[in-house]
Amino acid sequence: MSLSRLTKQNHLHLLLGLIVGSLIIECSFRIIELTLLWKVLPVAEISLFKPDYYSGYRFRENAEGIWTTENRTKIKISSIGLRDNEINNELSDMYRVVMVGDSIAEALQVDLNDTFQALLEKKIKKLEVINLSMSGAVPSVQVALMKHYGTNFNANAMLYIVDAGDFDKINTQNSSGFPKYMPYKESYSLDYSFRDNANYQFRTSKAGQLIYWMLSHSRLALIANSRKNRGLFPKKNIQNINVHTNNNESCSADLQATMNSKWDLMNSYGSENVRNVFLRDIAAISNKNSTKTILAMRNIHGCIDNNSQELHEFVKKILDGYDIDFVDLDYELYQLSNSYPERFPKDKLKGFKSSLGYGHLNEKGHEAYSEILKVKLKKFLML
Amino acid sequence: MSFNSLVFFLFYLLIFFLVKRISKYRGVILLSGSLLFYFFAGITDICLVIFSILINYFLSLKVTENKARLFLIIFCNVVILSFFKYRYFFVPDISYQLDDIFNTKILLPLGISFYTFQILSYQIDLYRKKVEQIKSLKEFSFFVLFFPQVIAGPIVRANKLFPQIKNLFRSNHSRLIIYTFGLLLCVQGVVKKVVFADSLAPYSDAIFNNTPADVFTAWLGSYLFAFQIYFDFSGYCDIAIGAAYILGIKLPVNFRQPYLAVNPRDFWKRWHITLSNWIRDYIYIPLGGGQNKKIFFSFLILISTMMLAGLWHGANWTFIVWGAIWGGYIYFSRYMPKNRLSGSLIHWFFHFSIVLLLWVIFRSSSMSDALTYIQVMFGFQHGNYAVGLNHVDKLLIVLGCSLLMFAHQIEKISASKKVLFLVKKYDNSIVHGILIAIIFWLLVYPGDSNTPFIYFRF
Repeated sequence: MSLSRLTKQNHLHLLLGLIVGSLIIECSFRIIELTLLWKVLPVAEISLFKPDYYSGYRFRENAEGIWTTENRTKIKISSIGLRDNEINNELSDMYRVVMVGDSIAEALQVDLNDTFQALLEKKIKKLEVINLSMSGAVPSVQVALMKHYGTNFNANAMLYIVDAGDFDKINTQNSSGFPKYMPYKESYSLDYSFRDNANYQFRTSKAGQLIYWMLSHSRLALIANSRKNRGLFPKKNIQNINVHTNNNESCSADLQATMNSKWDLMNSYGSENVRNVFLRDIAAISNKNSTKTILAMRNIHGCIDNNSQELHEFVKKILDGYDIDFVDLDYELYQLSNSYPERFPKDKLKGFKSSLGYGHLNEKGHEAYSEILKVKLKKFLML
Repeated sequence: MSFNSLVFFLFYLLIFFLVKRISKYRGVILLSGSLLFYFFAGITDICLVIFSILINYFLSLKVTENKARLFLIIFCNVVILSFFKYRYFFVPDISYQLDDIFNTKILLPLGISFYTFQILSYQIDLYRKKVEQIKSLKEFSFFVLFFPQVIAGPIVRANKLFPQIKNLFRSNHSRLIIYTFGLLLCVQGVVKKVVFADSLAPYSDAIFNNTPADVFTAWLGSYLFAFQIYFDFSGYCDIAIGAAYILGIKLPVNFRQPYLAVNPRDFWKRWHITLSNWIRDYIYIPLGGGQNKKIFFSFLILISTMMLAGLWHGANWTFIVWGAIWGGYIYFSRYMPKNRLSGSLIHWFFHFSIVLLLWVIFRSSSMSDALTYIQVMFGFQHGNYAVGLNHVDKLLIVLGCSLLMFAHQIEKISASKKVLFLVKKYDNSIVHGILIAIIFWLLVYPGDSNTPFIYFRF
């Protein structure tokens, strides 16, 4: 056999070996997932999203896998693309609440049964909560989701879980992947220009569809995708989960004044203010569908203490103008922990690597949120 | 550039292909590659290592039997090592003042503890005439800088490495390399690091960073750390030995399933073997260890030696105390009566429990933390971090932990002659492809923890 032929054969053998080796890794990851070892050993993290014409991105229907960022949970997306159980439309005597929020309400960090959404359904009989929440869903995305999907469920109420910090992001963030509020005729309106982006175009093309198909069927594709998302050659330790530095236990007057002034600004901007536009939009959706709306907000304080009444009165006054009810989640969490320190000890409510009331909630945090929202919803729906 | 990164994978492939293609210059290619590899550590680090190489090289060229010259060399190396590693420990005020003056904190140069010990071994052996003088600067640089082992060992003796270096630079003759063997070692190392060490790290960190709530959690934390550090460091060494072997350099074994040891001396013959041997040959024996001396002196020598071994790991009292207790344990184990229980499962269990206790001291950030942790291990204290809230959970955790020990046994089997024969038999392109693919995908895996190798900080 000639040398060049031998080399060619060697290369072919090497290629064959590379394919077999890749298959071994694919099988190994799948085997780990089938055993209890998925809680500890390396697993391929689920890829959840696909492009969406209205909200920029949405969960892929029936996507199934393991979430590994902050805790490990098995995730199953429903057939209509929600992190939720399948919806039973035959149960006509149920009160239905459509909820939309960011990653806090999406709650990938805990099992579906431990989310505050599921706990609410257990605590209030005849209540069904439909969860449209997704990571990174800023207020503009929430409006798009509720407007185009949430209204299909004929809900009795609409619940928005909003981080007040996200209002600040709207003007400055280059949110090319999803709808955002842009100035329009001396006001703001939802802008869907993300549909013209090359990224969106690619994702919706045949090649994009093929990649999504691979992500749904191959663990190796998921690993490569995770690596791409975290950077091919990360310089430092990639575990850089943002730790909220706010110390909730010590409120400074300056910090509180700064936060209050943000709400003052909101009023002074008048109708041009993005936050007011958001309130205007969710009120309009509510009126059009004859439903009630609750705005549950986080992060409206610099910190939490007992002197928040003034701020609450101020915010409520604004929201009353739009007929929107309001819950201050951080404040209620603080109060709940003070009232029931044994059931909700502060050190157990700090979520995953964050301070009280901030960051993604752990199981205890979800239980606390469900208690807070149970009281509110019962009163609101007159149950 | 960490071994568990894609950058290293690509860098290594490049070096490998260059060595294969231009085998005539493989020594120069490997030396250039080593310099480039170390350059990634930072400009201060590369400057320091070059400075260290030059000083040691020129000092070693002069009269080798001169004791004063040897002391001067040892002094220079110890001063450099101490300045970078121990100044905050021994002279904190001056060190902080220095930081203020230079307006920066000088970090510990990568691999300084390892390459300094390697250089010292050469210089002492040269004085003792146990090794041939390295006359070529590039060969001496190679001896210090060879990239698979420069950062965290194994610490190689000149009499083992130098003949191989000479062959690289001066001969065109390449020795037979069983690539499957080298690649298998790399796979074993990457699996140990990515699959085991990085998976255990978040759990042992969580237990050590919060005071454990009960006896079970405390022992579990120590057990997990014991295996985390083992998989981490021995994984690194496996990659180093495998990667070096493929490039034509044989490095010594550094680990032999240490948790199967039944007594402390056995443990140190299996754990970080090259460091243990270094300390034995260059500190313990010169101090008079192993000779028939009075009980007190031999005790003192052993304790001092092990304290120095502890201090080598870092400037912290925990390491010194850890070393001292190891010394005491080794010493008293000599007087333990030999009976039918020696080497039995009970004996192993007793010894392994002490190893776990000692890892607590090693892992803790201060002695007070270590003492609190040990108190929890014996039920005298309680913290607030619990793992395994019910009996089923506890049973599953114990089963999982026993798998770690099982992995240790598998590793023992994998080093058997029968397996080595099989490896030789299956040294072909298909197997190479399989092993390369496994390494590649494990390096692509981003991981939850993805921490650097623990021994990089020493």
